[in-house]
Amino acid sequence: MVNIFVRAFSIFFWAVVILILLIVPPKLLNSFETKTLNIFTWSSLLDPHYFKKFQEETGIKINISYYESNEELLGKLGAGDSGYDLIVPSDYAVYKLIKKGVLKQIDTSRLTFFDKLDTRLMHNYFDPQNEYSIPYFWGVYGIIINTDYYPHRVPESFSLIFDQHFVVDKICMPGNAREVVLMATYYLFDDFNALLDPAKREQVKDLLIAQKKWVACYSDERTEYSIVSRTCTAVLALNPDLWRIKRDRAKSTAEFILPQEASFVVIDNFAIPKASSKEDLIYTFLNYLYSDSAMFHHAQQFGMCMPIEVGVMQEQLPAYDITKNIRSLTFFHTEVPDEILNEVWMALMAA
Amino acid sequence: MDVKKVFFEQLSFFISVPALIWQFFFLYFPLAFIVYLSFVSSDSADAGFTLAHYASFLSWPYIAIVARSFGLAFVNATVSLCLAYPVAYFLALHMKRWKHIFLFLMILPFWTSLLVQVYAWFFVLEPYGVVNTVLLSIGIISEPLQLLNSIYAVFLGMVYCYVPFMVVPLYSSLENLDARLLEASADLGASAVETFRRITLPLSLPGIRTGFFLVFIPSFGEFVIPALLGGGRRMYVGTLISHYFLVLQDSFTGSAFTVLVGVILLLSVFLTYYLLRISIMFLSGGMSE
Amino acid sequence: MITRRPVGICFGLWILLFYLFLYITIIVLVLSSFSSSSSGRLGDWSLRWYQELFDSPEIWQALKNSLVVAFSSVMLSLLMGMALVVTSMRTYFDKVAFLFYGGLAVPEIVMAVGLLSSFYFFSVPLGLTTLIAGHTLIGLGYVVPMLHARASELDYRLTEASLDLGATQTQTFFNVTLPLLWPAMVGAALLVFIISFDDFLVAFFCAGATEQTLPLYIFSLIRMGSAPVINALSTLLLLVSSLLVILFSSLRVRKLGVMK
Repeated sequence: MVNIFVRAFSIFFWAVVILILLIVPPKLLNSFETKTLNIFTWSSLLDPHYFKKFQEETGIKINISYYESNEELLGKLGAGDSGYDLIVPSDYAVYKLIKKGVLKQIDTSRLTFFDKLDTRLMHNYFDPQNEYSIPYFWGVYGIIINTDYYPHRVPESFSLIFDQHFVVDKICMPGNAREVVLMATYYLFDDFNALLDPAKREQVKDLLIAQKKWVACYSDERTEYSIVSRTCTAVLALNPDLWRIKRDRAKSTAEFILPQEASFVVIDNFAIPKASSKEDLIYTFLNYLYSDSAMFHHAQQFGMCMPIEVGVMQEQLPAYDITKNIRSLTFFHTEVPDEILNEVWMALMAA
Repeated sequence: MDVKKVFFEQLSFFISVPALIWQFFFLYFPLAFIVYLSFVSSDSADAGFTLAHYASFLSWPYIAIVARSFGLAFVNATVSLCLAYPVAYFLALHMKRWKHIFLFLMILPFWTSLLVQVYAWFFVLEPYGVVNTVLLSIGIISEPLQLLNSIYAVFLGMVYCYVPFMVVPLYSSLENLDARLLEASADLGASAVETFRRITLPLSLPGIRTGFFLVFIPSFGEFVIPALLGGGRRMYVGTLISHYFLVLQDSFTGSAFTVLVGVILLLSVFLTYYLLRISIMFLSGGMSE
Repeated sequence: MITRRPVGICFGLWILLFYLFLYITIIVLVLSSFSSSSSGRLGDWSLRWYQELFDSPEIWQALKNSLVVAFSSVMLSLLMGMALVVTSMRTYFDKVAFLFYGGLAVPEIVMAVGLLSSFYFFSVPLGLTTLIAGHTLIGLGYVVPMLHARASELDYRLTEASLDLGATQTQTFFNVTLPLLWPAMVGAALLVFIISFDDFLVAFFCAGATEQTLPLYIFSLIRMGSAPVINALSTLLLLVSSLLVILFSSLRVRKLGVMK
């Protein structure tokens, strides 16, 4: 009798102890921080070292966590209180988050920089009234080529990577379904919804599978390396990648080609999860971050396009040449369900 | 005295339990949970039993991916076996003086991070890495070869990383061989090749089996090597599982795929067990163990 | 039998080529980490990449995380493993021993994915705690069999004699059992440490993106391409591994000596 009781108790006791040790420590650590701002962001958007001054001046501690992809962000936020006060989703992620209703409205009157924001970045499809998001850095898609291999004039078009006649040696494409499949669809049909038509979908698949012959790698992280190591002669990338190449290798012969078909961009935005209650800290931080000097520092650090006008210093900025002439922005946004994008991607990966 | 003994027995049990709970919570429960997830349609309130996740793998892309990983793992194990056997044989039976040093050098890769091993090959096979630079300077080629980002680079990486797993069990098995059997066979007039074929080979079957599975099973689900050396051009079982859980954030289909992979592994282990036995018996001329 | 010259030479050549295959890339890697050129060409010797490593705060943070996780996993798995083996060895251990071989039969990616799903669905926040949980699990799969193997070799008459001579159970444990098991414990500790320190797969799935361990950091660097800093970091890791192997091997030699 005693035996069974003791055994049951032992098992129960240790099970509870282990569960407590698993769940409690992180939650404990979080609850002690009242004057801490928890930010969840991409790894090349915020410089953690820059905010030491901010911490000294305001007493607010900045705690930055990183995610690898918007999908990870969406996953984490979907599961209730994630513990984050500020997040930086890309445009299509903002769209999905607003639909899910997990974002808090932003009081734009508390933002000192609101009028300086670039009008091209405002009132876009994902947040027409800009009630839930403030644009932060953005990037323009284009083709970075190594001019050593392209001695003649090149077409300023996606045919540089899709058409066998223009391709030189090997290229590098992004490593995610959305960008690759949507870009191929746009190249063929000028309309993302073509994917809904099975016959056209097969054409997209065929184009991508044919393209695979001259694709050296599909990767989101290897754009800079592909050009510099001469694995590829052309790579589909964002303009900050070119800026980084030029910064790290001054003698580089890389150039940025902006396709004429459309100026695809991606905008990363600040948004506030509904569960957060640290509004004062958030607005103080944002006003600090959008000051000219802070913006300039981050732009120099990461090479992204700025969301605000900074007057005279503008021309020294990495992407000014590329972005000054862009009028209309095209986004990788579509109502075509992810399953279809994934189906095309799987077919490509299996080939 | 009796009470003290009983108390002590109960205390002993109490202290011994944590390890068991740990295994249950972090190994067996998660495995069972994955199997559960694979049959559940979604995490909404009206979820129900479904085979839809499994059905989605009946299309060509998934079959191709599984077949590719299977083929790669199988060839990897076979090639490793051929490469490793002579080494293990020589080390076990014929090396006296330098045995410890060579054994030490064989064990060192086990303790080296897989990432370092893979990166070493990445560095060497780059377009302007060591191999290409040497070939260019000798003049064999005029443009650097694209050695990375292909299934061949993945295969090379796998052989390199897993061959020590083949050598060690083979070595163990061969070392335990009774040298007198080999002597007897020679005395009875058998040639060296015959002795090997009819005595050494069958007796080393346990080592061959262990080595084969130690290489085949992990290679099938390998993620790191294809991710870093394969260039993302093709999907393998490991990269697909990671794709489901980390990119698509789809635990349900991902779990179904993982369970499927587990089942395939189990079946292939059974198959290979008998395949090895039959082929060794055939090679050795039909002698039973 | 392989005393005939040509065959012996063939074997020797095969062995030589084999070991060359195993080590040539590592040697190239190590050598080029000392080169000052950014493409790793040999020639100018310099320690600039090691200096860059030293100056990088991310590396120190990752190292700190890796060490915390490794030490915790070693401690936990040793404690729990010892508790189990010592107290249940002569009672019910044989009935539960099979539970600890499951870890070796299951591919690591399946284990990692199982842990991730369980943590996710039961809202356990991912971080160093969940990582320690996973590594301790793997550790138990080595500690328990190793301790049990050693403990079952022990002559139990030693413990009985100690008890007969009047020592209490605790005294016997600390003065007789523990010292005898010590080599196996240290060996297991070294093994679990290096497995946890080098582990990538479980960390990749279960650590969350914020707290990076050293392997996770290296992976993110390699994903972006090659860089001389990675060469330097790899060389250091190789050094650590070699030291641990030497320690481990010297233990085993001593253990065999004691047994004889």
